Amino acid sequence: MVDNRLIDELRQIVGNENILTSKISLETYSFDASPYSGRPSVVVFPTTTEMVANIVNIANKNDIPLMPRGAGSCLSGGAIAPDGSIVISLTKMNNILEIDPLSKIVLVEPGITNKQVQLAVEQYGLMYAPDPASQNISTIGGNIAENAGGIRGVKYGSTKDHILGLEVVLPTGDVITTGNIHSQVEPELDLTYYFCGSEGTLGIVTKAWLALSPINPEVKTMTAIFGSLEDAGSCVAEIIAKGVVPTTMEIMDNTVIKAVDDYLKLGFPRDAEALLLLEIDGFPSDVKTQVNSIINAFASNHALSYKIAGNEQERLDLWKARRSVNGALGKLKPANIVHDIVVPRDRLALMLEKVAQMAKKYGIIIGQVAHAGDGNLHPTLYYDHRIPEEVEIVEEACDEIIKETIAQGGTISGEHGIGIEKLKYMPLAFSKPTLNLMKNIKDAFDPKNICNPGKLLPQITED
Amino acid sequence: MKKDELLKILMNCNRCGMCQEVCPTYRVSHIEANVARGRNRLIRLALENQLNLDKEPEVEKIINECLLCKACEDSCPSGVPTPEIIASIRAHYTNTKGLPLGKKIMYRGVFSNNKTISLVRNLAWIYQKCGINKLVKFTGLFNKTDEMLPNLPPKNVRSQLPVLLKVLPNADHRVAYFLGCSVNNFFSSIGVASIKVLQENNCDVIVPEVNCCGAPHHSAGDMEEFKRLAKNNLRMLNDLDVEAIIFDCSTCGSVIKDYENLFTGDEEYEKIAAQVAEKVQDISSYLISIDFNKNMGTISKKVTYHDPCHGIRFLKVKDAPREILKSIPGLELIEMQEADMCCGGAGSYGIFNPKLSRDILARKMENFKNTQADILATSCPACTMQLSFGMKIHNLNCSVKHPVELLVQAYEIKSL
Amino acid sequence: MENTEFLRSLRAEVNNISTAINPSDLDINLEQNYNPQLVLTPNSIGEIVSIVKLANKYGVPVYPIGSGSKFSKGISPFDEGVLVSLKNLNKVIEYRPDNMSIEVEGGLPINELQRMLAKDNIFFPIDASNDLQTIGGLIATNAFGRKKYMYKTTRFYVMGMEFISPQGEIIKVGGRTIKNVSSYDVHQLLAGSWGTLGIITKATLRVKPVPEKGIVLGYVAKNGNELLKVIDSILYKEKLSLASLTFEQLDSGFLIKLELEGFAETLKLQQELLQCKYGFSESSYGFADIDNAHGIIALPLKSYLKGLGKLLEHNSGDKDIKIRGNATSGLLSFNTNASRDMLQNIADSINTLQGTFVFGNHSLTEKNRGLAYNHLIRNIKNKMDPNHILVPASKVMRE
Repeated sequence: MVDNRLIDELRQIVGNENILTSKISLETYSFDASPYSGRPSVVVFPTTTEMVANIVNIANKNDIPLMPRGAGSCLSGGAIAPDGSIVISLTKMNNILEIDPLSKIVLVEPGITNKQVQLAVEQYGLMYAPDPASQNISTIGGNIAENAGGIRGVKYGSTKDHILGLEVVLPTGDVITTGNIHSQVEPELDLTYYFCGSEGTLGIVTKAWLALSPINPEVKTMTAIFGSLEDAGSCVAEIIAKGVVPTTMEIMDNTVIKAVDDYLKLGFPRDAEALLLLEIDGFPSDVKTQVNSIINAFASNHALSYKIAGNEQERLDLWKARRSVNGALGKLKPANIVHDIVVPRDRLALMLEKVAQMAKKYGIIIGQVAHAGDGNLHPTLYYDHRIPEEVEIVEEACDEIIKETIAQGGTISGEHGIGIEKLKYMPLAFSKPTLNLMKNIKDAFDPKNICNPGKLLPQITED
Repeated sequence: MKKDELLKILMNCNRCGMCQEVCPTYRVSHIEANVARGRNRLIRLALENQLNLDKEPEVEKIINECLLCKACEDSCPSGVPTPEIIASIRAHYTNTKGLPLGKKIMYRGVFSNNKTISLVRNLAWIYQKCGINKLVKFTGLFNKTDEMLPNLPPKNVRSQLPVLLKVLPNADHRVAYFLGCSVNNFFSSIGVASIKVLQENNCDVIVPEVNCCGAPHHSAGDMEEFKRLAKNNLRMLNDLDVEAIIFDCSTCGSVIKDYENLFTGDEEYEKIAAQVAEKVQDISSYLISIDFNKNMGTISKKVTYHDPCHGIRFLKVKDAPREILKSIPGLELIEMQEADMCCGGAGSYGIFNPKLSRDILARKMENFKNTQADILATSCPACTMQLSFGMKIHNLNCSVKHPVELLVQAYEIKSL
Repeated sequence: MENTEFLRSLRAEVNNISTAINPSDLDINLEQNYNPQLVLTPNSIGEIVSIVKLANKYGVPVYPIGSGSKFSKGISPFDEGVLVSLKNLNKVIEYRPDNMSIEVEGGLPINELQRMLAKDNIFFPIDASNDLQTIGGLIATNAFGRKKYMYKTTRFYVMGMEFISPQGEIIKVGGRTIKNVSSYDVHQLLAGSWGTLGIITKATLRVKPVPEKGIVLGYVAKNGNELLKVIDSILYKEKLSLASLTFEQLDSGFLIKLELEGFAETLKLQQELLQCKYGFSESSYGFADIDNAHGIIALPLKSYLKGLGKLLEHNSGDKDIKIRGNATSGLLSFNTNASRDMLQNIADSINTLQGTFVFGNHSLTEKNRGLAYNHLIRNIKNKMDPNHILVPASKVMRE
């Protein structure tokens, strides 16, 4: 129980300006970008590792759940405060500690936003490759917790591919450093990559060593329009098979095209069934070779037309469209559920078709955006949450989507995480022994289960 | 706005959090109560009867801490009009509780009445000139407010009109110049510059007897007084035989352009407001449109431009002032980081929310310092006041100027 | 031998389980002091499950082995336990060239995998030092090759895994997609765990199309100073499709080799630049052996040149030292009969540069992550292997 004595202890650690206790301020920390809500009992804003460790110690001593939080832009409910928890907001712990442009490494604090890291390293001709759609606001700590992917994922991978090491405050209050910035020549168990994607349930990251990539001199952005989702999907598979590695490949369906165009008025074709958006980067000679391959793939997959962005402004406009999708679609109906499924790339076209059929079958609006290059789809279902029938139909459709994903050999979350949202699907995706194993490992990190409880792992019933 | 309407708009917020990037109060405080999605959440709860607006002083405080800068709305993918929502709630507070005493005196007492403004201004000038302000500094009373007061000019603009206004029988253009309260009383050099520049470009200028545009009243939610002032201004500005009504204050310009929304249902004033709105022009935009006189002297300085919120997000003026600056020989224009982020002035915001205002100002001054420019240019006297204050407390020896002030300087150098 | 109970129960469950007494019967060369009591070559996952479950029941240590090339690196000498060879679990389970993924059993040697993929112009990007290394072994040791700079380490190519937990359960984690945030990345815990947390029976790997072209360029630097200058320039001043930069000491200087991979046209341009500006010329695909050396040093890139400089200083003139290195991986190797003191000197310098120095199979720059870290690793191990039967003699579990 968080009582006044405890609050005073916390206040001593972080200072009066860095603690929120009033009912109203806690209300503003009861939500994230998902439809769920939680009830924190206090929010603190530490600025040093020591403060974080002290806070965790207090939580430990008093058996109080805690939750680390960044920007709170999580779509699966990962940043929803467990009941009565201490929310540890890292937003004020947001410095860049060291940039080493020669080694292409940057050391950052967890509260800095992804975009701020990009801006800081730009002047060295470097970039931090993972660029989730939320990059303008999401924090590095949050990116690590969700192993955030990004639009550049197909070429550059996701967050874990760019983490070299971490400093973490464990749920026991101990501080550890994981990983290496040099090659490993002696046997050692590296926990760095287990923390990635652990959704804040194994500890709180207080420092991260990030690997940077050179900004490639030449970038070409192209779009192509197809008469069907299937054609677009096949085109994607062919492009990869030919050895081309675009930085990114995105498919937007008709519903999405219309919604985004309403918001941004970029002159997208209103009747296109699928829009394929690609970007190639590399040395100029690399880009030329690949662009030619792609144009051939367009032709052999019945593209109705294609366009290459002529200047930086056109290129930025195309990208703005893609990044605005989540919010722009919010105007269609008051509520929506965004799915985050991945299927093997060779099943992409099929999955897009199947979801489109589901929309017809259930009579609901489903907009589809896919990180086509890695098979990650975001079908979004729109409904009015005030109409019970619609809610029911949407739930059924969701279940069917997940089942179909698993049937196609895919996975139920590519980037958004399990959080609260997909807890119920975990037993479908994993056997009991596997879930038990994960629980045991979690117990090793967090014997008291105080670190972001209720997320990622479902309650396992004994049989 | 009615409750149903408000709720409907609020539902469009799906908490994506994109507002965090651009909201000045969030950027300096990092807490959810200081960003659109947090404020909207509370308002939505209130409208859904889950909390009582009138019994939660903390909510009122949060509502008042919004700068109304519109940065959130512009970057919101769902287009949620947060400033409008906030303004509606403030109107509700004013309706139910009335204005707090300080605001009542300042807004209704002083701003609403040209004569009173003049009187207060003259007193303030005396206060500064005869050194009483030094005594105030010494005692520490009213220090914060005193600090923010700019150095007042000896005369307001209106009193100088007989000397300033020339007759131009062969004028190419005939315009009305809207003399706003701030320019008139605090930054007369801007007003003088505007008139001179217009006349230099062969415009016949008239300066109608307008009253306060009502911006402070609107931001405080005093809709009754706001409407009264609006009607007066509209009557004054309508039916003038001019091709444009020129504004050198972005705030006044955008407020008057928006008067139409006040009079939904009132056919007569709706029509007048629309007619007047048609003629509203920011002075930089107007000068560009008449292909202003480029024959001028040299000012060898570095300048950077701060976009007033009302300029860039309400009147949608971005390139025009920069064009003006670039046209002055010798003047090097450097773009500032976050040039379009609010300065934290927001009219009287700085008096009622000093900490946030200063933190935001500090960030703006840091961005300015990094350009290493000599002059900070902007097109709104409220910004000018705040930025001048910033120069003072951050020990920067640089000046804050309206583009027309630099333009008139260049013209005058040429004619020497 | 002891554990006849164990063996008897095992035979009762698995009739045909083959056993050998000597590892050499299976073409495995273990060093002295590694003395398993029994060597088993199961033919299926089911058999491994039986072995592990019985091992738990009877308290018999289990040591999984692939090719054995890294065995002594990660495991200390032992006298007890069974060696379980994965050599018969070597099939390809699911190959999806359009998805750039392949699922294989843990005992498949890398050379067979590469041979199969080559038919579709695809390859597995980790260039193992030993052709016979198994996929399971590569993952367990998180192996990397000469081209680490371009292709990183094995763990980044593991999309999914099936393994047998220390308690004998079949665990399936991950999937066959590059992006996957559904639950904990247990396969990332197993990768680089040196066999202590499970026996890897299957892995789904991400593979890549073979780059259009690869070339090797060589140049002989006259002395240490020139060596440092060239490395500095190539690494930090040029933009290249660089896969590796290696060098070795010759009698007459240092032979530097650059390996480039990518698109043909781009490589042509880069080759021209390197020829004109530095004097590099086409060279062969033979490279210095970094792995087999008395002393191996690993340094962060930012202190690599300093470290190399120090090493050159310590040993100026002594050509028997045979200094070689992989600058892009931050590695330095050398042979030496140097004294204990000199070695300690080197170790101290390396410590200051935040690197690691391994001599023989021992680390001289004992990097200790502290009690909390070691405690956590032990906890994880204890939870997964409560009976302590899987690789108990591991060097990974520190005090």
